[in-house]
Amino acid sequence: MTHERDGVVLVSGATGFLGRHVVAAAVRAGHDVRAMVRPGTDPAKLPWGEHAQLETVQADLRSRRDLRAAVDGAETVVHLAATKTGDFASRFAGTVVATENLLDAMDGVGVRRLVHCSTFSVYRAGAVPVGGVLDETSPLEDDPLQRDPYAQVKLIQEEMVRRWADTPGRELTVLRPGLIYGPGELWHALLGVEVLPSLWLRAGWRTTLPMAWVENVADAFVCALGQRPLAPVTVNIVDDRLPSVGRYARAVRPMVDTRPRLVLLGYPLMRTLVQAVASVNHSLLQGRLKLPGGLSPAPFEARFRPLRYTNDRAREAFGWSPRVAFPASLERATDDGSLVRLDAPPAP
Amino acid sequence: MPADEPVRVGVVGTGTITAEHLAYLSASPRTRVVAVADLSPASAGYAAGRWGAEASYTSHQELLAGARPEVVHVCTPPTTHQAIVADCLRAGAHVICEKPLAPTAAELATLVTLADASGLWLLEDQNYRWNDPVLAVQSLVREGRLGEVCDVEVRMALRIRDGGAFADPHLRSSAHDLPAGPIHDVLTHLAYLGLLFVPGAAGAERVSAHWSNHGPDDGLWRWDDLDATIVAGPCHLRLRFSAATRPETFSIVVRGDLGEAETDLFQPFLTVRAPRAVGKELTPIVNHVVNGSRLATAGARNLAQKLLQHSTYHGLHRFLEATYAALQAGGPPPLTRRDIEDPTVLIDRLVAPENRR
Repeated sequence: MTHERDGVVLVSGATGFLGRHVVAAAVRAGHDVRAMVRPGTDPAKLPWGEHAQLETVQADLRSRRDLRAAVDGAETVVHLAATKTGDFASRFAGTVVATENLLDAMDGVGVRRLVHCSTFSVYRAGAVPVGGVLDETSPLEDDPLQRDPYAQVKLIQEEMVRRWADTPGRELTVLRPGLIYGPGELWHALLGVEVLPSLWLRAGWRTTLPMAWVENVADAFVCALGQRPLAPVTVNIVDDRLPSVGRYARAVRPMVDTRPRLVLLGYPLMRTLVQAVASVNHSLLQGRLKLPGGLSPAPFEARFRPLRYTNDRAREAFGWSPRVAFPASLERATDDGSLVRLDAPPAP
Repeated sequence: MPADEPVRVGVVGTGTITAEHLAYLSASPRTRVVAVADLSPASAGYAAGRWGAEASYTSHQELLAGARPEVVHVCTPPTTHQAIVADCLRAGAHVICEKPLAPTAAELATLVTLADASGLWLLEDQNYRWNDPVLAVQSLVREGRLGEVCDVEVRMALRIRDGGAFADPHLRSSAHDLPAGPIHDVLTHLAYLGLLFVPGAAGAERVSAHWSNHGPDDGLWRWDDLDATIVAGPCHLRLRFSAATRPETFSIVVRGDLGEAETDLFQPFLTVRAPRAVGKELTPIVNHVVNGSRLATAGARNLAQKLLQHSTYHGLHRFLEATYAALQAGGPPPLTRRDIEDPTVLIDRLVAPENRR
């Protein structure tokens, strides 16, 4: 692996929850950044403000039109764009087809370096022993149809970028962040299963949450830009000293508008119930029963299996370390705008 | 077409509705999915792998030449139907096309002529005809429980401006290029369901369509609301689409000179107010009790159907089963030529300047 300064860095999904931070962090690190924003985006509402190292380009990855021009001249693409809502076809278009179009455009103009954002959702958490460590060597999901649409399309997407990187001369770095939390994104799906808007079932209290503060993840992408891998590199991104479900839920509860009641069933009991329902579904209902994501076996394990996590490989590969720790991170969670403004001093 | 061999089927387009087509096609012993095509290699490849298609292509021309299907399902955006359907018919394949098959009656006529010249079937997916609530109301009409039908309302409320493909400000949906804009995408459903109960509506003497845009004028939307009245002899048909009202609904009310029935296709229920053998005074009371019981039962049934994935698309599976059964048996298709033409003729009249209000 060699260390070099890059040319222009194109960031897809630049106005997304993570993207806005990656753009800000990359500019602050001295990179020339081209933020790809969708055509309907109001330029006046971009979060960064004016900066000499930042340009924006409008393109929608679901269409090949204008994509090559948008990518042309970039040295590296940081690919963050994905569709996280809607039906499967919408997510497929906004994640898989979008990636297919992006790679086609990169090939068309000779961009050969990709830093790709994957996710912990690609792992088959159920294959890791309870209490064991989920790391980059853990098995990937091998039965995607048992998982939620997000995991399905992210698996296809990651497989696609890996196939792209099989061609000699292409450089690929894959970052798999755990659950990214940050301003406006504090209450999340790892805290429980939503039965009603006001009632969630919780599968554990002491279970460690595989989370990463959004600025730390952005830093990791910037660190990845400083490397030139000779072969595809894959790293997990989680913070240090990860909080438990209970500790985190108590801390963020006063900070969120929606505060559902969390009913603790515990991992063993919930797992037994989930497996019992799955067994009935399989034997009596021919698998036709469709339950909320967290109440089917594979999604349940992906969200609630008590595991441990490490960021050792990211530290070793990139020299990255998370600079914002929980719970101090929550003090920064009230104002996303000040964290990403580039025309003002960065938040301390 | 041999009855003992599966029909060779190709599918063009891999959007949301395609999964429903492929779910039927991959499970039915009547069919064999020989190929899927999509402009995106990843989409075509995924759909082929997911549903067991034998090949995938990135154009319908390649699919026609490479897989030589006997039937092609056209599931692409409506503005692309004309060219794809024509190519399929010229290649000698029967066509089952998503709605609207054609944006205007004139364009439909071109395709119909082409199909007739080749002796091929040209069918439009009118899936809601086969949904449980519609069949139940049809049964009531056939049994005479409602008397002579004289007033029908088909109403859809759908939040198409609050998100989704039609409201996407970044990638303009081609549905905005249809004569009635995105409403056209669902108007076929409203039209054929209205015509089920008011068969003469396409040639009605009086047609009045109020097209409105009640949402913000963002340059994307021409119309997001339709309130149409069609008077065909003694029968009134109202077709209503709203993007503003809640809850989301797809209701049908059929009123006759004896009684009325109301149902909904999104959250199915059926209420009937009709004469009963308990006398004039007690009939309303019995109707209320029976309808109350029906509503309570519908709540439980809808929950069960939701959990068991008996979706609003169950009519599509029945339509396809009826189509392939007829195709293999050498019988007539489940939709007549008039079933397919009349909704398009009616929509033509709704958007005609002389009928717009």
